Amino acid sequence: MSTNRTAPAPLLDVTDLSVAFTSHKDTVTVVDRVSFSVRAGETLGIVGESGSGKTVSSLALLGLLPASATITGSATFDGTQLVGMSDRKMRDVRGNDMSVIFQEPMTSLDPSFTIGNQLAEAYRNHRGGAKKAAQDRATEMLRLVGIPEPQRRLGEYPHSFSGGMRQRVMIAMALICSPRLLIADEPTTALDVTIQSQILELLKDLQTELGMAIIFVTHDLGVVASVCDQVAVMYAGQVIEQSPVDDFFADPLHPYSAGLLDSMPQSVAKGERLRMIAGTVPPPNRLPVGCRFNPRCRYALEECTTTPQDLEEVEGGRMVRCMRHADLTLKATT
Amino acid sequence: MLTFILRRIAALIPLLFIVSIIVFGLILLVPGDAALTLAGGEDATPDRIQMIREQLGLDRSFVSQYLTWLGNALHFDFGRSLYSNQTVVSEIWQRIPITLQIAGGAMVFGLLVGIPLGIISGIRPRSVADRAVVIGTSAAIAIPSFWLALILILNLAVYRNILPSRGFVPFGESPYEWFRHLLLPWITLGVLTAATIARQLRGALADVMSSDHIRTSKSVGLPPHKVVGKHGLKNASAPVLTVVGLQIAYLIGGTVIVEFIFGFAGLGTYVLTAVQRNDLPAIQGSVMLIAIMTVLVNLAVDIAYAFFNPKVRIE
Amino acid sequence: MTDWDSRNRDVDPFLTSGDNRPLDSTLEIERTTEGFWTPSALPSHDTVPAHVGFWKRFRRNKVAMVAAIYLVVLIVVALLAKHIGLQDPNLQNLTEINHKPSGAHWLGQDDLGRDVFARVIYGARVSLEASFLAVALALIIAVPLGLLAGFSGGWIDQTLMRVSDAFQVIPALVLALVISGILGPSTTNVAIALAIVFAPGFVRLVRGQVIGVREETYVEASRSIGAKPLFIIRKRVLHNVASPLIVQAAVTAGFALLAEASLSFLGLGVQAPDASWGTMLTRAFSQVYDAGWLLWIPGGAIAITVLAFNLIGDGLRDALGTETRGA
Repeated sequence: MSTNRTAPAPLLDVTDLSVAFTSHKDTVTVVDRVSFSVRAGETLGIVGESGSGKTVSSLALLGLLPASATITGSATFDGTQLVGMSDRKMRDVRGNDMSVIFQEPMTSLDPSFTIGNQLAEAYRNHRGGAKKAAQDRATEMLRLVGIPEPQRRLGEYPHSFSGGMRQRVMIAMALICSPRLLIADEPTTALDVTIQSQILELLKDLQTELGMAIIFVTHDLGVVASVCDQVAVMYAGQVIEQSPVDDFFADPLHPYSAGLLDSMPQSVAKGERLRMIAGTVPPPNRLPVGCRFNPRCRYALEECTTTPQDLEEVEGGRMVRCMRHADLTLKATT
Repeated sequence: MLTFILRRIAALIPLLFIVSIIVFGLILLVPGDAALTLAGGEDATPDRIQMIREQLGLDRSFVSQYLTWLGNALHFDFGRSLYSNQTVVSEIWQRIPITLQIAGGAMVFGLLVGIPLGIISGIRPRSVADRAVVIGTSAAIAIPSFWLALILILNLAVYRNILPSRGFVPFGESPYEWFRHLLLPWITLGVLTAATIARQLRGALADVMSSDHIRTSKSVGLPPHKVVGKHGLKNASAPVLTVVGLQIAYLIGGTVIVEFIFGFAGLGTYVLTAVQRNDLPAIQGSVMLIAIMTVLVNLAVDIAYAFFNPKVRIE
Repeated sequence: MTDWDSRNRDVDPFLTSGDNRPLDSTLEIERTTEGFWTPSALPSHDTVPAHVGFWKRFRRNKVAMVAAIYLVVLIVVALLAKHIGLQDPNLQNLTEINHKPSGAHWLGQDDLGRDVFARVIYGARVSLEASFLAVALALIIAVPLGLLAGFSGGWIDQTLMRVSDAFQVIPALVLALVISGILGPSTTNVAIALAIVFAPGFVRLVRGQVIGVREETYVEASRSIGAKPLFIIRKRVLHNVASPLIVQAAVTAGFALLAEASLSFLGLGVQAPDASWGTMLTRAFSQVYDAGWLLWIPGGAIAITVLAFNLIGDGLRDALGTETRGA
């Protein structure tokens, strides 16, 4: 696995992407100059706590944010600029080149239409063709995502499917036009633990079979460890570290990354209490001065509370947003 | 689906039974000696009082009177009017078509105006268009519909001779005149329905449009007319249908005033005249028939509801 | 405390996206589609605002305040009608019929030369009296029945609900017309008829609230610590029933005013020569070719007053936190 950014051109290249929401008189920047990239066939994990902006960034790429959102910066997909793209063109990209699956399988399918209708609609929307062909394709996709008796189940409504099965249907719908990038926004969070691992396995298998790239938005480092090649950590609307996943787990560069690793249940000996990072993510309208993590950082210096820190490239193609990254040696377990 | 419909029809039987008790029980409200009051009070001739007493069986107990009335009602016989001596059913039968034309047209008006307004404001809550719709519908709900009728007559029939102020022309005679004569009644009655439908659809659509499955529809690249027109509207239709069902009773009730103002010989004016004359059999018969009509139209709405909402059928 | 904890998802999977503020707040508009009276939209005991804050919140709603002030002024003027130097509303002046507004007659004179302003004020008295009386009677009938249905459940509840269904199958205006017609034309009879028409809705509302509250665990809890049933009713249930009931009563008063106007327009309410806004419209309509302008005054009075009741209802709803719908 090459970690050199200059090697093959990335499939998706996000540079300085910002998202601001305007309400009444206020404008709140929720995602602030985020940069990351994904190469074809690769899996990037975007990790962060609630409110870190990870979901907003991924929805911004697909133009799925409400009208009150202002998106700036650059995001190119296979060389095509996505920011500022017209709605019409964006619709050709969505579901076709880039697809998304969401956190809420129970509510993400339209309760008023059969599964077959929704799958075929998604297919014919981009590929056209006869209804019969779309039905066949839908059956094939259901089989691919491991739904037994696909032919029969096409005629059923979402309410007769379990949560795990619905997420499989969602995956089938997202992949029906063979996109080159799948954004999976916490796809397993709402599911039982056993189902979670089944869905993760399914996504891994499908990736091998279909060769698409995946952006995995999650707060679960266990998921990151098992499926991702690269990981980008977000905190308070910024990327604070991007690293190859092995490097990240072995040698986190940012104190926040280290804290996350530290709070994983796996990193705690039996009987010991789980460790947590004290404090919470600041809301986007009350960000601290200087480094956004400084109030919770045990390594913060005077300077951290006054000077904002940029994302810097360091050796091994890794990126970090910490002025002390050179003089700190952080380990997963302290 | 068939068992669903049959079960709904079965549920109507006890309901209509209770309605029949209420309707027949109206006789208990007649002040003083019922026969005397119904005959027209102190001035009535003893013959007439006696005739009414016999015709209605007022000598017998309430339960016995009711059972007789119910037995006849099951054969669609509501007795004879105390005035015309015609059977109530035949009199009503002649008048129902006019009432249905008014109420039906008003419902069409309500749907034609209310649905587009609801969509415009529901897909963009808080936009300029939405605010305009909200203000307009608030005003429409506060304005008494009969006053609206009077103001429309004043401006369109009296000050400017654009539309006729009174009367009914059958469709067969002249479709154009039929339309001209019914337009004001439709608007009068339909404005509130339109406003109610628009508001309900606005709320339902705004809720649906912010739901996860609409996000899914957008995420697979569906164009807006599919997202709103197919996935949005179908899911927003259930609460709107509920309102349509509730509006039916309002529309049928509202025809009383509209027929009075525009001088139509429909079911509404029939009830009104019956009330003014204390014509009890006519009152009971027409109220019962109006209730049956309301129930049947609501049944149709229920069936439509089940059609739009696959879950309902299964329960 | 931190909410970073991978166990979060085992506790509540949806917590994790709970505070992605701007985006999620637009996506998480509450999804009740029915009106504010549904049990699901009930304020639970811990979200019911302390009544201390009620006036403050109501006063902040300027539109509702204007409506409330209008209504109070109207009530006071109507009550004091005899003592504020109005002209006799029934005094005819056949030499000055259908005269337009002037210094002596602020709102003009009707087809019998009577002072329209005085008649509007005296008419307000009749209209308000009828609608308040109707709502009061409806509450007196409905609240005990609603509590009974909600608490007893079983066949009593079933029967009461079927009966109220049956009443609601008959169009409101027809039912009111028929009842008040049979009772004989008078303002009191109109109020009685309207009370019968409105009662089933209130029964339903009270019953729904009682059932909603009863199923909440805190009533279970107070029962399990041995609180007496009556204590539960008084302390817990009435508290939760009162707010939506007040809102509903305000809105219903508007409906009642409208219905009274409709019935007296049809000749069933107050009898000549006394005025109500409805009968004034009937007379004005008979003069439509000679003095159409007469239609504007009583009709406008009805519309504005109904609007005022609705706006007060909205204001109360917001101030009492009865409705939480976003859109």
